[in-house]
Amino acid sequence: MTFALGILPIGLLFAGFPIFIVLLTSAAVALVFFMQMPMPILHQTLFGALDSFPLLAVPFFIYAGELMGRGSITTRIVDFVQAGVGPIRGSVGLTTVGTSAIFGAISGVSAASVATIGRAMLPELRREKYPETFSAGLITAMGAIDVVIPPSVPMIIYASAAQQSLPKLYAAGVLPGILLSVMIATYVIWFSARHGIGTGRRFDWRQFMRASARSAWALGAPVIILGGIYGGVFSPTEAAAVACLYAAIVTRLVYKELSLRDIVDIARNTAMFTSQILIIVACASVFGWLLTVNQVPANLVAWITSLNVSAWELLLAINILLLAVGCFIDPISAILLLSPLLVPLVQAVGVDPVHFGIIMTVNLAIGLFHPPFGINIFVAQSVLGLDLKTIYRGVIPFLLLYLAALLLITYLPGISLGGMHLLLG
Amino acid sequence: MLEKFIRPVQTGLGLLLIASVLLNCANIAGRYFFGRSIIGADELEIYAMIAITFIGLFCVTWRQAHLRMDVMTRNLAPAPKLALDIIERLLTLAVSWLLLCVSSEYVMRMYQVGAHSENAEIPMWIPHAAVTVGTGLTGVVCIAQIVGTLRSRRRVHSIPADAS
Repeated sequence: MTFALGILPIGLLFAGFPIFIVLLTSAAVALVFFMQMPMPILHQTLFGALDSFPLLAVPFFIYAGELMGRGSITTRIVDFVQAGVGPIRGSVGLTTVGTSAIFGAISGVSAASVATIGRAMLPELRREKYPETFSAGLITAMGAIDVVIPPSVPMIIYASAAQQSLPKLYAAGVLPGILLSVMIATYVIWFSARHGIGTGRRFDWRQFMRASARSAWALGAPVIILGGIYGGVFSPTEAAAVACLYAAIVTRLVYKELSLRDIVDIARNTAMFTSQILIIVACASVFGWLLTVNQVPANLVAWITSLNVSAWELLLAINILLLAVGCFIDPISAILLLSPLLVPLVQAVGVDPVHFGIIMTVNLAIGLFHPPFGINIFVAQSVLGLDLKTIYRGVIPFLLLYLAALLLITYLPGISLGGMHLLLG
Repeated sequence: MLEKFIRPVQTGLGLLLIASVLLNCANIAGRYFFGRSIIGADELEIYAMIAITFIGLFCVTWRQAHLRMDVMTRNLAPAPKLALDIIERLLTLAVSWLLLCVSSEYVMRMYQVGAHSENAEIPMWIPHAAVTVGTGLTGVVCIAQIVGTLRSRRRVHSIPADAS
């Protein structure tokens, strides 16, 4: 059994096979050669894993984000943030931070944010004479905030894998998202002051009002999503569906930027992306079930308990493991592969699983831009034409900021759980 | 030939996604404005998502767009890379075949029992058949890809011989 559930999946994973094949092959080998189980269980578990209403939020939020990412919505948000932070030194850098955070509240996919905001902000950052390494690092790292600020697709996956409440996770992600934004914004101001970049200009009320009016429809999406969920109007899945409809209406009828054909094209791409993600969710559920039936998580918990490890030591070890894993595997796959093993472990030492969900998400967000293989690095390289060395050097200060934020989020549970209690009572 | 078949399927799955969004919104509107929900709407949306996942599987396999951790194998020499490619397709074919057998048997049983969903009263063999159809088509795609790879290899080897 160790071969089927340990050696084989690790071997196939490192051989570069698709993750769904890694999971399904291991499960099939375990079922056929090592267990006396009726085979229909394979079909039942695959189907049952997706027979879940909350999971529908995955395709809906991706679709809403993709619709909003097309057209001029990003530039409208850029104008709005720029008009607001204009008087502050380093306003263009701050605009990148603010726009990424707002975009994060619309979309839950990080790579889309790097591409969309990068295209809008890189020329502005160059015009302001920011060093290329700084601009590359800022854009690449800020994209990762998308998965921390709700609505976040990895959080939906964690909620499903760890059987936790999605509204609670979303509420718990708000303060960590703000913390990260504030830390990066502070660094941008300090960097700009130190290098004499962007002296700031007088606040212009008229320009601010004009930019606000121009971006009002774009800013409506996060209000609908988060207001709807925490106002008790919609479930997260319903909020995602309303966000899709809202995005389609705004881009098609209000801004008149997307044709019906574009809307169908985006739906087609979203359907493919959905299949890529949810097939792993289904296969991971079979694998997770096999781990549970073979008492792997229970044995791990017993082993950790026997070592008398404290919560902070365990969290430190898990953080190091997740940072390493995040360098190689995308957050969704990592969450699905590791949640069945790690959640019982942290629960055994008294860590709240919602708090752990945020730790896991922030950790894997770092993996998105961590050299050498973070996916955002390659998106920035291909879409923005940035040099790989420049990006690697540029992300280092932001990596340190994220790590500092991760430590705070890990060891001060109030940052996550405080937001949850604040929003959900 | 498969490409001609895949694009309309992808469009169909996209339209299914749009239909799910509209059904969900209609359900919300019904609940708030007319005081009633569409019975079975949630079930229909979930089954649409399942269809998108499993039927989309063969399109994703055809496009070779599956999520994977390929940082170790990305820079391999062509020969071991080709060997890994073929092993991957054979493995996918074997797993698809196994799932096709298991799920077709399950679907047949659902059909014979006459099981229906709780609210929408949909015969349950229909949503379950998405697994059967999706894995079956994934198997076909794997066979086509293996044949294509072997043919292109043979063509590459025969070019210098023809030239000489």
